[in-house]
Amino acid sequence: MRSSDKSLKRTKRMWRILFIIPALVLFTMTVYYPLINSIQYSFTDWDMSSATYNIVGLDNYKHIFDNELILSGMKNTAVFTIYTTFIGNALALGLALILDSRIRAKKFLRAAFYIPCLLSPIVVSAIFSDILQYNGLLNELFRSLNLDIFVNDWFGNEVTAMPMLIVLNAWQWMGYGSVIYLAGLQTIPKEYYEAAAIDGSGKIKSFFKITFPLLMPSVTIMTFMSITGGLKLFDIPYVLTNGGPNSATETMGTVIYTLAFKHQRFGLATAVSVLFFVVIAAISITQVSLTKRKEVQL
Amino acid sequence: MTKKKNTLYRIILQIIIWIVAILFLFPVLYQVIASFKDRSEINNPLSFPASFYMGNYIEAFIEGGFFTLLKNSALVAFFTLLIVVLCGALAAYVIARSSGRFYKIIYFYFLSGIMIPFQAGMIPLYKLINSIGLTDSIWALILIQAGTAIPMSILIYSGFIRAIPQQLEEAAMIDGCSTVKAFFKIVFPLLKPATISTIIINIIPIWNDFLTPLIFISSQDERTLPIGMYTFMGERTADMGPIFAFSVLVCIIPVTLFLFMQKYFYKGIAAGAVKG
Repeated sequence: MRSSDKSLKRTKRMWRILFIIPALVLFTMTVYYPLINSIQYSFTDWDMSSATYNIVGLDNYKHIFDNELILSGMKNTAVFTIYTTFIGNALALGLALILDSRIRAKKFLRAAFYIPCLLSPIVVSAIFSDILQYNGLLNELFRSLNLDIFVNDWFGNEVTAMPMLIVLNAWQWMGYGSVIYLAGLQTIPKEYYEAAAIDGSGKIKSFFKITFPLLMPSVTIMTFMSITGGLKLFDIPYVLTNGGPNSATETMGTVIYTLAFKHQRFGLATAVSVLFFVVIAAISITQVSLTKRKEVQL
Repeated sequence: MTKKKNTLYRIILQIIIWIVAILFLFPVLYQVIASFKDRSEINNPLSFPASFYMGNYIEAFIEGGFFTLLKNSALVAFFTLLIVVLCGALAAYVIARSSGRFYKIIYFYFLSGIMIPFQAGMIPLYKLINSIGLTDSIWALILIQAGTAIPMSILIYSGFIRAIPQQLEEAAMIDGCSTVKAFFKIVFPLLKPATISTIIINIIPIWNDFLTPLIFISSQDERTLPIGMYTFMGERTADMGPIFAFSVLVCIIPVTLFLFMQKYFYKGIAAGAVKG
């Protein structure tokens, strides 16, 4: 009896291990193993093609801070992330509040705002590189309205290229964010608003005293997604502006890609990617724990 | 008095939100309209096409090699989702049903993957894929996409499994069902909502993925739609008609899928967000 119990336990454990192994192997192989390799290579002058490499200590990390391309990538990524996080959150929340109120054709409106996030970055690039080019739709519209002062080469101009990317991002992800906020709004019991109204509190006060605090879980997740999404930005600047004009739209993503696959500076590129990982991990952990503290339990 | 003011305010809000919604859809509609313009019309962005010119679509289908790209994209999406669903559900089942520190550590090991950006390991991954001979094969895309999507699927599945009473499987196992049989016959069918969430959350990013194939695929036969379109664009820089026809074709599948399954999209996104 005892021994069969034992063997039953053993087969059960064996199955458990077998159930976990595929996920564990695949995940480790594609995520952790490369990450650890990156950390190793970041201390070497590895160039991918030759079999041997030398350990160069912190040299790659020192070079990060005297490389113009990397520094502009860092700056642009920070600017993009800060703007898209604040603007994206505010717009998505505003839209969710409107879609949650008593208006007509809610379903159509929600779908209309959601559709842009389904589009591939390459499609978005094709559409907007055409609409915003010098002889494109927007400028032609300005010209036909005699508003020639607004005519601009939107992505060819160093000053407007990055703001346009921020606008594109807001356009693409506003509907997606509003779906997350709508789900959050639906978890707030209606009685709270009724009680507040009886106590004589106005709509604006109710929003700041009830809606916003109870929406903190959604704010947490939206902020997390905006920050990590912003930091990882790659596709649209790579296709649409190729980092230009004059590095105005280089991001950490495009910089790592360029250093590795165009300049073959793998040591430096891995050092940047390790730094990139550390920054993303640190920001994610701080941000989640900070906004989590502000969440109220129902 | 205030009631009248309220209705007026609501009508104004309604009109504004309608205008904004149409402005939002406008870029999408613009590419559809432009894709039917012929060469003489395309340079006038404010005009409508005189007739439905199909030449752009023919060019996209034939010279763009659309069907090969579509086949590759479909294969990548199918196998990636299959692997993510199976591996994710199996691992999450064990994690959710076991106590003890070992499984807790495994769980956090998986979850920490959500924070790791693809770029962090991208370069050594290139070497790894090279050394196992998968460069230039859609299987490189499938394995990488599946591996990076596993943490999120484990998060969704394990939350869901914890909410299912354990007695069901225990009863089945007492009746002589093996662990594997109990999982596939009893647990997995109950996980349908989690499976749908996992598929919905992943299908669009997989379909639209650009960076992975950019790095790992070079030959024409193994390309997926986004890279195919990128190449197509590179070959004809100023000729926007065929490019827009191509981009309409790239959009059709995700947008149709969304229009038919809207409910699941909203639920899936919300489920992923709440659990996260």
